[in-house]
Amino acid sequence: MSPLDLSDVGAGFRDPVADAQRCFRLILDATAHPGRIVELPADLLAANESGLPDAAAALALTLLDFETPVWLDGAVRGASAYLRFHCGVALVDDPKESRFAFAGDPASLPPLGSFDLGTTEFPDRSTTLVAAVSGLAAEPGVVLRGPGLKGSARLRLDGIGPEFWRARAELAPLFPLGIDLVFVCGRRLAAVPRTTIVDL
Amino acid sequence: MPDASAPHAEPAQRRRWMGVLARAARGDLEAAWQGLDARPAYTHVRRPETGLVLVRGRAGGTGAAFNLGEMTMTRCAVRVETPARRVVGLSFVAGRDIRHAELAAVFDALLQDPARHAEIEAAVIGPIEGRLNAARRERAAEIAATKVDFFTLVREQGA
Repeated sequence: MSPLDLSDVGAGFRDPVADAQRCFRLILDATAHPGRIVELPADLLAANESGLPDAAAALALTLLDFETPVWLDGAVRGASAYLRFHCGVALVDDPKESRFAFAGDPASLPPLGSFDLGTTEFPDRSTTLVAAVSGLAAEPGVVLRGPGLKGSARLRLDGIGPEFWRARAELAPLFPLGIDLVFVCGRRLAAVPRTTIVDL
Repeated sequence: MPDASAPHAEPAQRRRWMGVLARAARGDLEAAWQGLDARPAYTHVRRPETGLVLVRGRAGGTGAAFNLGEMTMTRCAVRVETPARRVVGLSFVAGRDIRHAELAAVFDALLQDPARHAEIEAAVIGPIEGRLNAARRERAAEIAATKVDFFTLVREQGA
């Protein structure tokens, strides 16, 4: 096995324990309140050379380890060495084998059903898809309803079109199987778990 | 001779010098660092951190793997920028000496840089390796002096 070329790998969290805890809290907040946009504090991962957007890199450093296989699309394949070094992840070519998937170009995603949807016994053992979007705001956008939301909320995701939500809706009958979504834009992040109903 | 033109050199050579850096006394590394003509600036890719590793062995030469036990280890990764290239040095040091891990990583980076490899090999690795080998030989000699030969008495048949 040839040694990993580390020459382009930059630093991870400055304080791995405290920073990961802070980031975990942010991700938890976003996932528990679908559509809520959270932002990394300025001092968290201030310098990011991973090839992933800041929020995606922070998520990776927080949640990935040697037991979470990762799928990267072509746009973010440059992050391979960084993720293998800092997180110890195995990279997989087949989206079906991934626990986390990072898409730098969501327009070129494989069909959502090609990711791991989990099993009846363990629906949580599914892929969490982290997609980079060019714009992330509350208005205007799609309408979110469901667990974690009082009434409804709106979420605008630039680069995610109606066909994406239609494809996601096709997975709904398989609930509790499915995939969970995280959208990142720079240092901001929002989550749409499989329990959320999305209306265009 | 190590292929000093390739940043990673031959794995066997890198293992050798990383082992020397890990087994060196921190004082030796600190003195070598202070004695360097041009001390490079470096940034931390991974700040020195202490943790536990599970050491595994093999029973016999080709036997099954087994867990030998856990040991405390400190690891570090630093990046050194030179005009020609950027190199990342790694260290894995038994114990919890953060400074030792940091210095070992910096020297590992310098040794991967063809421009400084020979200088560091001669000034740092050579002397330390010599001291480590001498210490090992001395210890082996002490132990050999305590060796006891057992003479087994073989019973005669019917006795």
